[in-house]
Amino acid sequence: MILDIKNVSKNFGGIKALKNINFSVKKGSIHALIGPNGAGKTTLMNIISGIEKMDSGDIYFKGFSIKDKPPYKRAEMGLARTFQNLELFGNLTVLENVIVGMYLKNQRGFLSSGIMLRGINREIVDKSLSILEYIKLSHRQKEIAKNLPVGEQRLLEVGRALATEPELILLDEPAAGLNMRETKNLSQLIQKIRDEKGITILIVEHDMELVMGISDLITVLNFGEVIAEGEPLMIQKNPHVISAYLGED
Amino acid sequence: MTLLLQFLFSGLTTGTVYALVGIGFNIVYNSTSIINLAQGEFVVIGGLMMWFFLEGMQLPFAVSLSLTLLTAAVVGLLMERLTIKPLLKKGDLLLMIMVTIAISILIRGILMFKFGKDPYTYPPFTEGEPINFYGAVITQQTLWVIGITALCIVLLYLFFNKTMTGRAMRACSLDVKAARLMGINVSNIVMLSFIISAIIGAIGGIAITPISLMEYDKGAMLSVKGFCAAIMGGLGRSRGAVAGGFTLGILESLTAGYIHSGFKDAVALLIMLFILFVKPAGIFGKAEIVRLRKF
Amino acid sequence: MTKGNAIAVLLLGILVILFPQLTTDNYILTIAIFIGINALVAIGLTILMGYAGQISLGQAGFYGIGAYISAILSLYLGLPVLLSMIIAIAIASITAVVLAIPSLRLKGHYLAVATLGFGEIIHIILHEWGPGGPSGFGDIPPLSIFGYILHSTLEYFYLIWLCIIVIMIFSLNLINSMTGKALRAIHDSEIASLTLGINITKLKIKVFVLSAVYAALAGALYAHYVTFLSPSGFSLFYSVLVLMMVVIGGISNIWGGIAGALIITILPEVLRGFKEFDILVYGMILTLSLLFMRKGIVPLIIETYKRWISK
Repeated sequence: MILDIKNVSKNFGGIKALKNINFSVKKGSIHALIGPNGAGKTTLMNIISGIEKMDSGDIYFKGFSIKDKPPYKRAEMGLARTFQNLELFGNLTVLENVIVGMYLKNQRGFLSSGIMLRGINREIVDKSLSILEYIKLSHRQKEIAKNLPVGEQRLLEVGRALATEPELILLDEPAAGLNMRETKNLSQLIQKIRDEKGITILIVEHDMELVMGISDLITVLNFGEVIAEGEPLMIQKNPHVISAYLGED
Repeated sequence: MTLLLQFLFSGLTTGTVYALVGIGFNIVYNSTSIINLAQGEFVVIGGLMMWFFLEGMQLPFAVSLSLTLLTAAVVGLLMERLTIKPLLKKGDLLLMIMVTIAISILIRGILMFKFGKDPYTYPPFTEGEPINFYGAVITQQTLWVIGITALCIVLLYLFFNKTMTGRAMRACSLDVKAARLMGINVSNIVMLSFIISAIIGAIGGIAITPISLMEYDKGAMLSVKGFCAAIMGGLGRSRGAVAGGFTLGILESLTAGYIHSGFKDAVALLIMLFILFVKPAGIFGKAEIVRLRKF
Repeated sequence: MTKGNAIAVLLLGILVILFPQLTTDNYILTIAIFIGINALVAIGLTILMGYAGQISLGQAGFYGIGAYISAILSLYLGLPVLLSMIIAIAIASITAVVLAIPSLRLKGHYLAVATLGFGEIIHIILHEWGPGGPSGFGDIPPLSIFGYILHSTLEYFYLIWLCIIVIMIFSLNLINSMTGKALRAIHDSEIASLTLGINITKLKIKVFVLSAVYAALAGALYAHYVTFLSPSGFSLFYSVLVLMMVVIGGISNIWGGIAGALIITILPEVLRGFKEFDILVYGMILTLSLLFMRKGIVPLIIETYKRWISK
């Protein structure tokens, strides 16, 4: 198991957003987290990446508790993510966005940064370019990130996350706002990332076709609780899940 | 004991001015989330313009007073319309900080050009023997200063609680969007807050000048001390600013009296840094989330 | 460093070498020295404001620490000037770390006022406890580098502008490095920066310290050049002047620090004979440039140049 969520709870002003969540993500798997709107999926993503604090419970990443670690420490350990409402570096170019992603493995102190004759070495640029090629955004490398269409911005977020050389990527609704063709490309990309790079993926997504097509295991959240877990076929047949989505009892 | 009483009274007197500047900070902060670093300049405007009308032009007291307050109001109005209003929409906090600094320098520059570097003063409002209070000497002007401050606080309370405009201003400080939806003209409210805070500052300057003299460059330190008074009481809470102002004034006066007069100004700075670093909600204030208003 | 900046640094170097050929007037060289000293402080503040998005109204404090400590160590303890300067800069940077840790949790206005408070406290300390109190002290030893004592204005001119060139190369490299990119990234999205493993607080503290180091270096150079110090030059007004240099020169480009220092340093010389005007003129220039020239002169020139080229 690469990620273990243990009894995680979170309240927002008296409202229980998450109630005793328990589940584990297997190393090398594509694990989906689904549920109706307001089920607490994004809150959980924020808690895993360290942007929000949980009220109780614990999270283990690669067997270590990361409860008290700030987001940047979690990133150092190999945890990366994308954002539902895009958090690109809008004023940087596409290439620069990926380069910043490589900060973790290539950071230098102020002194050596100031003395260095060439700012960012060829190796970093080449690596970044190859990531852009991998996500098929090479042709956009010199553009300012905020000028990209949404579909490409989502891809760039994935690319930037890849640049940190993570072991687990959290994808928060990566297909939102994408058309059918783009979604198909995205699903291929996600599978490619897992198959070729061996990176584990935890994905929150509303697009059921995408989720059912690529996931090894699906965890279903409703009103802040896990109501089902299993392989895609089982989930599709699960009466609790069907009623949660259709809004029946 | 007599000495202590004397220090307490002189501290109370300067404290009233800090309280008035602090209230001015709060009024502008509540309507815009801006810390107006030019706030202290209005005290200087009050003192120097009062001298100009009263002594320079030999106008009667009431006329001088009205003209001085009018001048301060116009300066507040111009400041808001010409600089704050066009820049506020940008939502750039750094810019807003810098523009209030720019205005304070501009005002200081104008005052220096007009009045030079000399300190100014004029006679107390009423002549008469100082009052002896258990051995401490209290001049009549001290009573004026404290009385005027108290009157200001009462009037402001009535304004913010009993008049429609005052209530609209409070509504804006709670929720700009909701206030706008209710049909309140937020732009006018912001302008009004600058005018009121300018007048309050000027009142402080008018009252204190016969006691402590006034010169063109006093504004910066007054701003810092007024801000200190405001955050001692929790930013945005006017009663807190009054408590803060008095406390600060007394602490300063005790420091000057018992320790060393050179460290008088350090008191406010140290208190300010302490609050900012340790307890940003203020000493007299409840914990409050620091809001950032969006326009 | 980008090609454009490399050429600009080269041109600056050539200008510095040639400048004394153009004029041997000591008065002009002296002003050029003061421009350089102010530029050092302004470059630091430009990086802090333009790249880390933080404001400081306390640069005079670091400038004062650099000047006073270096002067006191060399004058009263007899330390070599170069060593005194290094110790002074080290003390300023330690002070900056101590101040930065609580301050940088503060945002916007609070940070502005906290740094202002720090600067004023330093000013009061110099005023009360500095040698000579408010009237200051003199006889500070001149700069000597490994036994060679600098005497002439020309030598100081070369030394100080050499410092600027070194600082510019260092700063431009820094901005163009991974660290510089990370700083710009923080500007756009703090959350994303965090999840990419960027320790935002640590970076901001480092930039704050860097700006303090530049200011302290400038202060130390000032002390040993002028050989006389009094607290009046290290008040809030100096911090505001530096802020003015940054705003007028251009917050988003560190060349703006030099341009701003040039304008603000020359201004009082131009206004000589109109002494009562100077604060008014400062106030007007700052207000007008905030209202109508928000980007500052250097970015404006670059934009105009680019538009002119593309025509």
